[in-house]
Amino acid sequence: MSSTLPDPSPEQAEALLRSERFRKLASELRCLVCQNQTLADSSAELAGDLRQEVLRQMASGKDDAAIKTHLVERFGEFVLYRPTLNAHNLGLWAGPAVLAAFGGLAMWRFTRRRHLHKPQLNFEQVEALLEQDDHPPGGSKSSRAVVSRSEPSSGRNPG
Amino acid sequence: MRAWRFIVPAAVFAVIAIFLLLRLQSGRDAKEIPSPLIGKPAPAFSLPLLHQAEQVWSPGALKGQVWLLNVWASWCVPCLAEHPLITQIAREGKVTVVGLNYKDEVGNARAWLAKHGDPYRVVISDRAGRAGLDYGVYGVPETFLIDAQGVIRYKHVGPLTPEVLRDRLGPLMKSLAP
Repeated sequence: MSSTLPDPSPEQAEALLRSERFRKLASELRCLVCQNQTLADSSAELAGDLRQEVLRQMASGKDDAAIKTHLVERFGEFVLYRPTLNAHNLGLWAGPAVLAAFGGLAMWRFTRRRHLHKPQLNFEQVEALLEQDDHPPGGSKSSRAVVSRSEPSSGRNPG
Repeated sequence: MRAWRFIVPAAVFAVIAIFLLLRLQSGRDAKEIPSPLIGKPAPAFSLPLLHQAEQVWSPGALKGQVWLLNVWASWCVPCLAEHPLITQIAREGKVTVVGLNYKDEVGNARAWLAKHGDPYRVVISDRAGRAGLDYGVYGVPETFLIDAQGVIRYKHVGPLTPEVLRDRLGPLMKSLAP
């Protein structure tokens, strides 16, 4: 078992503690008793033990991936602040993309349908229609005169 | 077709509501982390016994037996709460009960056992908590059920309760017992 690794010497531990690599690793691992803190942030005793374990693993020459795997095998994916993609959490990872796809599809369909309902006329066509309304096919001057006569006369005073 | 505009959002809401309700009703503690160790061989260790420090003990000694590894400490208050239940399981004798004294002073641990009773077949002293690290211990007390092949079959975090014993641990122990 790898937890039987020897403790690094005080000098080695000091150097490792100051290393950028340790800082990065400790900030990507979760303290399990204070779940919203990283190993780097937490002052809990377990976090101290886990930091010590990380130091031992680093001193023994393990790379970051191996150290993370070591901890995941014991404490579960939960120790990782950035969980890996696997069969269990595939739904969670795919969720946003699936939702966006559904939303996009719904939006596309919705806007397209609205487009179809809207009459697509350009300025000339509208002019022509208005023109047609003014001179209905088969209509005559007299019919237009009737229409204009039926309009409320501007001369009439409602008061 | 128009009805879909109401049915779809209502259905989506219903599905979400059902999931949330199920979670809420399950009574599961979100702080409880499912152990990746279940179905894996119990990690080996060599540690001194609490009562005979010159003697070293390893889990291999119990190969062929179903046993319970109870992680406890004298500084751990909930350990006291579950102690009568652990004692009861040990007395029934269906499984061997082993204590792992986790990050504790030997003197305190012995005094605690003298006061509250020592139900354990053996008590192992893990002063540095290194075995605890290998077993993924993050909250004492924790209890592991290990089968005759040395595979961890169940893990309970926190004090054992009569409900857990009745619904989960008990049936598992019964199914594993020879």
